[in-house]
Formats: sequence, structure tokens, C-alpha cells
Amino acid sequence: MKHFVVNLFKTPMFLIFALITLIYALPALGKQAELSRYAVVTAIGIDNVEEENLENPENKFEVSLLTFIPIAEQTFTETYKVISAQGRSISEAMDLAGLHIGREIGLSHVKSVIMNTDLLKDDVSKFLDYLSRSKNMAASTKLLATDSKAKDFLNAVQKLNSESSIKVSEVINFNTNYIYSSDSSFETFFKGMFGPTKVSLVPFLTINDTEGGISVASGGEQSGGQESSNGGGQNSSTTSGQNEEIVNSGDTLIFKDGKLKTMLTGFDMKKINLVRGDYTTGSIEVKDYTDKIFDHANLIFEIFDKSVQYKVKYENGTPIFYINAQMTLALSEVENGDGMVEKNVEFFVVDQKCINALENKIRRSVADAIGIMRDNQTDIVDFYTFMHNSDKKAFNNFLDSLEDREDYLNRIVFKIGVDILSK
Amino acid sequence: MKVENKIKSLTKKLHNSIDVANRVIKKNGVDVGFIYLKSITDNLIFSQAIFEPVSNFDGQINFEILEQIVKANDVSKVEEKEIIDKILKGSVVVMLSNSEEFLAIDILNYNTRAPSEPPTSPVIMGPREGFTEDLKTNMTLIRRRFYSDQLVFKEATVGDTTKTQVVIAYLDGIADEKIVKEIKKKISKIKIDGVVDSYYLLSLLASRPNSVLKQVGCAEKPDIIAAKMLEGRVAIIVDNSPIVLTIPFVFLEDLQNSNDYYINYIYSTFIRFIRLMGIFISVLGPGAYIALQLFHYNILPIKYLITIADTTQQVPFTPFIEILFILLLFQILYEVSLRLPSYLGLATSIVGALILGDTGVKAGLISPPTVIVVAIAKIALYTVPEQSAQVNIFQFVFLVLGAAVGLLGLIGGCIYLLAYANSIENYGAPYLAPFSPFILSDNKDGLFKVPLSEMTERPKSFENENKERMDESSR
Amino acid sequence: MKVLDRSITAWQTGIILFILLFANKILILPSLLYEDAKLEAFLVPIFLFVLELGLIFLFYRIKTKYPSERFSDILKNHYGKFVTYSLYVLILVFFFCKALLLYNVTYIFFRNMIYKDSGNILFLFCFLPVVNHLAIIGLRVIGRTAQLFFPVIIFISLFCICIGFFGINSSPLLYQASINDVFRSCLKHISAFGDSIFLFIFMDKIKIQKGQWKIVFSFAGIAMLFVVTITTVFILSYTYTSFMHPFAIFEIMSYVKEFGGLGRIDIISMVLIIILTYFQLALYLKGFMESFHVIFSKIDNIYSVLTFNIVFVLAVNYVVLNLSKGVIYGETILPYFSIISFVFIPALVVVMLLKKRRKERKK
Repeated sequence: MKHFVVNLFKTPMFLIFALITLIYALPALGKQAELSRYAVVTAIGIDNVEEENLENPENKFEVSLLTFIPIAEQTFTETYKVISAQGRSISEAMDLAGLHIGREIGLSHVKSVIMNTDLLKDDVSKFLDYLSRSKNMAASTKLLATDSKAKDFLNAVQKLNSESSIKVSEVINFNTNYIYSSDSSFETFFKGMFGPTKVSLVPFLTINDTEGGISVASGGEQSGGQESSNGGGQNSSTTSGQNEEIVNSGDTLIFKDGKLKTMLTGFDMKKINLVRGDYTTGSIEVKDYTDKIFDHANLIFEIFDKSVQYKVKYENGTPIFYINAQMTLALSEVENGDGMVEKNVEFFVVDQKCINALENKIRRSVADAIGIMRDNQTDIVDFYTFMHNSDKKAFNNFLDSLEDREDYLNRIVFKIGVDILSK
Repeated sequence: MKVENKIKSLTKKLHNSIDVANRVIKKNGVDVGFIYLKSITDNLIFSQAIFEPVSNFDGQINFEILEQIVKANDVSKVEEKEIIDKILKGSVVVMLSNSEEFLAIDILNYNTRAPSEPPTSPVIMGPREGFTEDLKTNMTLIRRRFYSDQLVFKEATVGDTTKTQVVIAYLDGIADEKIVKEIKKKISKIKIDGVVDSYYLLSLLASRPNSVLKQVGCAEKPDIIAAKMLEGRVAIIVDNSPIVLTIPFVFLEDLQNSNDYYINYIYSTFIRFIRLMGIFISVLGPGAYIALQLFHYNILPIKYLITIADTTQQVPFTPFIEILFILLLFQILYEVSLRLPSYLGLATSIVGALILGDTGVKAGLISPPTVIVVAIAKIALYTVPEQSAQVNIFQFVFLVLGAAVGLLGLIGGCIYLLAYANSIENYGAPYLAPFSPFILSDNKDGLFKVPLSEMTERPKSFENENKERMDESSR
Repeated sequence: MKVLDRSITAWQTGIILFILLFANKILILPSLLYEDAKLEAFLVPIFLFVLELGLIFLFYRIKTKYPSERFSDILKNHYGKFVTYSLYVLILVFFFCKALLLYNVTYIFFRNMIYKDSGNILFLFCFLPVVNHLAIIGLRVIGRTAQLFFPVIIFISLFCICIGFFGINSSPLLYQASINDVFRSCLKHISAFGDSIFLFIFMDKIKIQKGQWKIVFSFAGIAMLFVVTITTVFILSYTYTSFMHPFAIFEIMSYVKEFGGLGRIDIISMVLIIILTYFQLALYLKGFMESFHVIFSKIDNIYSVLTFNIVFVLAVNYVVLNLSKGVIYGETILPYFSIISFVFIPALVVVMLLKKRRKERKK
């Protein structure tokens, strides 16, 4: 035995390791699971405090947390509660919310952050600072805005969560992939803000009080039949007894330098996306088209494939920006005056007239899009980087020649070329 | 001295044990004495081959004649001091009153078990013979696989009281001479009262006897031993033990299984990965689970988090106590089912699985995820049954590590353990070879297994002579 | 208790070199590089690795000239005791500081990510016994264990890189940093490089046959490739917000947070960081021990481990305990120590080699 013990002491590191492990293991016997010490938050809503509700006049923010509360059941139901607290800063409100439920707030599973539009008059980055510093929140957390109270929004989300398998983050994901063509996460917000154009996009969702139940509708009234491929049909779920509706109609808030600049409808965004090369889904509508086959018909084409080329030339220091969009389109819907499908569209071959009409339509849309960007001085497409990278010197000269460097979009001459290939 | 007196003193030396048999007959004035142990000798052979020829002999008997008339082949002259030893090893000792010499005739015989398939290493296809407790049978089983003069058996006796026969078997010209010498030296140095089973030698032959890691290979089947000897290993057969030891040992050997060599090589590669994974899951599973629960809940995906949160909510214990409780419960059930007669086995499984598991969960005493984790870990343990004792220990160690310090502890423990294993060299074989140090040619039969036609060389992880196994022309 | 240092093979040397070159450059370095070098940050490791390769090449030359001698002995013969001892004192401090910085960064990282409620003591208790064990058990065992973990390291790194590719921004990027910015960044972070002097210190323990040098160089090459790729992938996925994300390899993974329902796969990158930190710390301790042994050759080697532990614990508790301090210390003090690896040692070695060549020519 003595020999054995002496042998043990020949490996002191083993003894130390074992000893330390034991020292830590004993308290571990009494340690609660982290899950029962932390509140798992899946969504954060941020509101400003309304004047009349002020308990403490210094409070500025109200934070609502959609929190998972475990219940001792074998059914594995996801039970959520909305917890809210007010505070002078986000962190204070968070701490208070933690106090309210007697647990620490765990942000590692946050999927979305909802901001009330009333907050957005100020610099958004000011109150997003806390969240951006949180190491536990993933950069891919979705950021969205709503015009109603974020707390109400979360309550609606909670109902949605408990009654269907659709999550708001899924709705936003769908947006991201099929409507905006831009990721709308926390990360992209800051990426845009610190990027050369300083423009960031945030999706905008509303809650409508309507009869008929809680539903998720992608593609509201504004866009109507325009979004043929992205209609809300497959995406909505209806249950009776509720009367709130989360509506996602593709509206987008445009921020510049962290400040709210304007709100674009989904329709506007679709136009802007025509100019962006990385966006390939969508549809184009030709209204009131007449030829041998169709009589005053509305033709809706789906974008099958798309590539957009940019080119910049300078004439007397003024940049001329060529946008050449090459698109392959497929006819997806024909709507004549009576709303009947006249011909089998499978074998429809687009003739030159139709192509001209389409080209005009696209050109007009692109011109509209550039108009929107010019009006708001927001370079959503990021012409800046392209021009900077293609000819740094000339572009800097051009910028120097401007009175207001931010106003460069208005000084650029855009030339739009469209090539249509029909499938 | 008279023959009667000689026999008396011998019987006294054997403490008048009841199995000591003796007989003295007078033949033409010459006393002939026989002494032997009834328990380990063949009575029939004694009476027919030894007693009958002597009693039927007419004339003056003397020692030379005695040697001639005995109808046995294993006959030897012995000196007085060797007599007891011979008797104890199953000889009958014959003495004459007109001679001071003694004749020992080996008639050792006892009942042995017939070679059968060992329960620990069954094969789907392949030889089903297993070693028995009888040394001679075991030697036969090995000799039958090598009809060659290269096979060498060397004998040694270990144990002051048991005087157990130990046979060192190796292939001359393949096994490294230095290793054989070292083993002989080590065995000759062993001073112990008794060796009941080969396991006694196992720890005495290891280069680090105190280590938790297994350092000597063992197998119950002659085909495995033959294959290992062909690789240049030395086999050690201990009398009364069906387990044959092999040296040098590397960890990889336990990942290999005799089944692997009798089925498709791709499948055996797959199975070896499964075995390694089994060890990993078994060792790290409970530790990782408890670390996630106590330290890193935020790594779990939300869906799984919800399941765990919902199910653990009702459990009255802290997670660590809960998992310890279930582990202990399992261990108790395991011990009981091992010892219990098979007709009671069904009862324990009902108690264990249905009453303790299912009702425990329903009553809210234990949570289903914990039960699942422990169950998986405990089942995975037996993917490599040869290492199950060690893996069981490490499972517990890593559980404590995970509970105490979380992920850092788990990985630190892994590094510590593997570094420790790497520091062991058994008779020149690095413990974790051929993975570290990495030996490419040995990896042909490592985790990956290549077809037999590719395995042209003997392992390089340890010393052996004549590296070539297969001629290029045979491929 | 004895320190068993036995020779290591070319493969093991390569793998140890890989760990030395790779480990401390994938966590906070890429993000720090962005501060000065912006999107061109990937150039910095390329430039600095060229220097590093130069160092390894010098090692190759001196090792072939003096195959089995100790570096300290060669130095003593050429420059006398004073130069040798003072150089080794510097190397000792260099390894100690690097160990301190590495520990500090890892501590901050894990404290932020998965050990919210655990203190510094727990980390010390986790790291020190294992690292000491590795260091005491000897270079060969470190080499072998590293060999065992190498496939894991490579697999996880490749996995991280592959996952990182999903996060890369496809839109065009604004390249605005000048070559000056890149060089400023190089100088600022030069201290993260230069670990190959470890090879010089353990020259006598390394056994490399003639044809095997390419193994060592290719491991250095792989390490360089990995560091550059990880830096590039990180910078390209986070672009203008790279400075907001200090922990590169982890952030690459956390961008693709939930993967196939498996949950947060960023744990994989954490596993990588833990493994690398254990090994890197052990190698730094080994370097410390060896220099200690050269300076105080009469004292038992175990006391060097003891010294390291005591000073390390004191330093960690009283000098560096938060990231900003650590980074400042890494950016301000440590670059001066890089003079050892990039000026002193190369100069001494080159002069030695030239002398030797001249002697040979005279003969």
C-alpha cells in the first residue's frame, strides 16, 4: 500500500488534477442546472415609454422579452410568456426584467429583435448598442420594426408560437430570401451602417386588428396580385378566436447612418431589386397588352434568370453609369379583361412587341427605383463601391467637385439597358 | 531404509492428505512400493500399465527390470528430493527395497472441458474453438495452427505454492528475441505464492503495473492468438486459465476483432469506426451532457433545450446527483444480472427496465433525457468489451470532470489521458501506435482495414524480425 | 519526477510547428488586423509568414550544419556566455509573455461565451495541471499527442472554413487601405508571429532525416494557408463590422448559427480553441523550461515549472485580467520582444553560418 501511495506521488500533476476536480465536483453536486437559473429569451421587443405611462420620469425604454418558461410536463409544449420592464437604458430594463421573473436573462437564443417605429426617430445605434455588445446574441439575429407597440407584437407572436409551428423569424427569413434579397439581421444593419453607403434596411411588420383570426400573411393588400410566386397562400395559418394578424407586406425601413430615412413599400423594393444583381426571384407585369393572341390582357412574367452588369465612364468629370440588365423571363399568369385564361401559355412564344413592352416596363421600374434612391439620398444598391473600385481617382475627383458629397446619386447620369430572353 | 518407511515419510511430507494412495507388494523378497495422488492420476492406467506388469513378473526384480516392464512412455529416474514434486504433478513413484533409485511414471489425468466457443468473442463466420483451462489442450490448439518448427513453447513455473505452469509461445524468426528474453526474465523474477489465473500475470508483466490502462493483450481463441503470433507477438499460456496473454500490446488491438478478418474489409473498417465512436460516446457522453446542463446551456438548440427544460423541471435532484443516481442504478442492475442465475434474469430486466426506468420517469424522479444519455453511454461501452472496465472508469472520471469544470475539463482530461497513454511504451511498443506515432503501413490494419492482399508487412509499431509477410507475387 | 525529453520525428516537428504557427492567430488576430489594414487584412499574415518562413529556413540551415548540437552550446561557442545567457533570458520572458497573452485571450473568450459564472481560478485550475503534465512528460509525448489531435484540428479548421464560406458577402467591397496601413498593422501585430524560435531552442531534440525537410516546410505552409484563409473568410463575411467581432474563428461559425437542427455549431470552434490553447500553452511552457534550464543549468528542471506556475498565477491575477488590457499589452509591449525572433536570432544565426562557411572554404 505504501509503495502504491508513493508511486502516486511520483505523478503530482495527476494528484493535483484529481484534487482540483474533486474540489470542484463537490459543489457541483448541489449546482442547479443553468436552465433553471436563466430565462431563455427568444425575441426582444423595444418600445419607448409613453408620456402618460411614466412611473419614473427618467425611464426611456420599455423592453419586452418573449421568454420560454418550462413547465413540468411530458408534452414538450413550448410555453412562452412576455415579460416587460422599463428602464433608463436597455441594460437597466433587462436587469429589471430579470428581477421580475427571478432569473438571469439569457440572450443566446434570441432570434429576433423588434423595434417600435416611435423609437426610430433617434439614432437607432444608440439603443442597439447594448445588444450589439452582447457576446451571446448571435450576429444573425433578425432585426425588424413595427408601428404598433413591440410588446403587443410579441404577444401576437406568442399566440402564434403556441398555436402553430410558424415563427416570426421564419417569416422574416422568407422575406430575406424571396422579397428583399438582403439579409435583415442585426449584423447587416451594422454592416450597412459602417459600410461605404451607410444605408441599412430593416423589414417592417404590422399588426392589424381584423376579424377572422391570427394569421401570417406575406403579401398584403398593397402588392396584391403582383407577387404571384410569393403569395401568402401557403404561408398563412388560421385559427379561430383571435383577431390579430401579423402582416408582412414587404415594407422596408431605410436607415442612413443609423437614422430612419424613409419607408419603402414592398413594391418599391421590388423595383430596386431589379437593379441588384444578386436578386433573381420576382415577377414583372405587363398591363393591358394586346396582340394576335391577347386582347387587353395583363401578362405576368416570372424572372427565371437575371444578370446585371454595371459600367462607369466619365465625361468631363461626370460619371455615366450604365446598367445593363439581362433577364430570362417565363410567363406565369395571363389575366384578360374577364379574368379567363385564354390560351395554353405553355407554348406561348414572346414576340418582339411583347419584349418591347417588357423592356419598357423594366426600364421604367429601374428609373423609378433610381428616382426613389435619389430622392432619399440612399444608395441602397451600393453604386458607391462599384464606382470607387472601378476608377478610384476619377470617382474621388467627382466627389470633390460636389457641394454635398452625400448627394452624388443626383449627379450621376444613369443609362439603362435591358435584354430580354424568354424561356 | 525400508520401503514402508520411505512411503510413510513421503505420506507424512504430503500431510497425510486423503488423496495420497500407496501400495507395497513383496515380490521374491523384494519390496516394491508405489505412491501417487488419486485425484490427478488415472487409476486404470496405474493398475494395467504399472501395477499388473510388476505383480505378474516372475523372478528377482531390480531397478533395470522395473524400467523395462512398466508399460508407460513417460518414465524417468528421479532423485529423492524430486519425488514430492513428481507426485504432485501426477506421477506415480515406484521404489524398490534393493535399490536406492526411484522411478517416476507420468499418469496425470483429470477431467477437462472440451474446447467451445467462448462467450466473450463469438464470431458470425469463422472458427469457434476457444481455449480451455487445460494447458495441454491449449498448446494443442495452437500447435494445430502451426505445423512448423518455428513454433516454440518454453516452460516456466510461477508461484511458490501453486507451482503453476506457464508456457511462453512464440514463432522463432518472427518474434523479436529481445522481447522474448525480456518476458522470460520478467516471469522468472516473479516471486508470488500463487497464480490462479492468467490475470495475475497480466498486471505483473505490464511495464506500468499501477496504471489504469490495460497493457497486456488477452484472447480466448486460438485463431486470434495465432494471428497475433504471426505479427510477431509472444503468447503466454497459463495453466488453468482459458485466457492467453499476448505481448507487446497496443490499444488498437482491442479495436480489432476476429470478426473483422472474416468479413468484407470495407464493412470491417466501418465497424471499427463504430467501435471507436462507441468508446468516445461512452467515455464522454454523460460528461458532456452534464457539462451542457451545468455550464453551457446556451449551446443547446432551442428545441432540445425545451425538451430538457420541460422534463427536468419536475426532477427533485440537481442534475449531477440525478445522473450519478442513474449511473449507480445501472451499475447495480449490471452486477445483479451478471451474478443472478439466468432464470432470474428476466425478473431483473423487468424490475430494471420497466419498474425503475419507466416508473421513475413517470413519477418524476428522473428525467428521460438523462436516462437516454446514460443508457446510450452504457450500451456503447460494450462495443469494445475488452476495454469495458477501463472505459467504465473513464466514463465516471469524465462525468466528474464535466460536472466540475465543464467543457474545458472534458477536453483537458482528454489531452491529459491521451498524453499519459502516449507516455507508455510496452516492450518497445508505443501504446497508441500506429496513430501516434503515426505509422502509415500499420494503419492498413488500424482504423481502416485494407484487403488482405495489401497487408504485406508485419506491424512496425513494435520490434519483430522479418518484416515481410507476403510475397509480392501472391498479390 | 523526471522530465523525459526525447527526440521527435520530422512529422511531429511539423505538427508542433503547425500548432505554434496556427493556434494564436485565429482567435482575436483577424479582428485586430481589420482595425488598421481594413479589408486588406489578409495581406498582413502573408507578409509576416514570409518572415516566419525565413526564420524556419534559417533553422533548416543551422540544423543541417550542426545536426545534433544544442543551440545554446553553439551560441556559447561563437559568442560567449554573456550573449547566450542574455538571449535566453529574453526568450524566457518572450515565451512567458506570450503564454500570458494567450491565456488571457482564451479566458476572456470563454468567460464571455460559455463560462459566465466561473472565475479565473477555474480556468487556471483547468489549464495549469494539464499544461504542466504535458510539459513534464516530455517533448516526444507532446509531439505524439499533438499527432493524435492533428486530424481533429485539421478537420475542425476545414469545417469552420467551409461553414465560413456560406457567410461570405457576395456584394462588392470597398478596398481603401493603403500599403502603409498594411505595414503599420504588420508592425503592430508582429508579436503574434515568430514562434518558430521554439525550433531553435529544441534543436538537439529534433531528428530530421535528409529528405524530410519538406514535411516541416509543408506543415508551415499549411498553417500559413489556414491562417490566411480564416482571416480572409472572417473579413469577407463580416466586412465593415469586423471590428465588432473580436473572436474570429468563433464568429465565422456563429454566423451560421443553427445547422441542420444540430444546434449551435459554434461549439465546434470552441473545442478547436480549447485544444489549441492547451497545446500552445504547453509548448510555451516547454520553451520557458528549456531557456530556464540553459540559464540555471544546475537547478532541477522541475523548479522551472514551479517558477512558471507561480509567476503565471501572480501575473494573471494582478496584471492582466481584461481583454482591452491584454490587447494593449499585446500591441505595445510584445512587438519589442519580436526583435528577438526576427532580429537577434536571425542575425546571430546568419553570422554563425557565414563564419562556418568561411572556415570551410579556407579548408
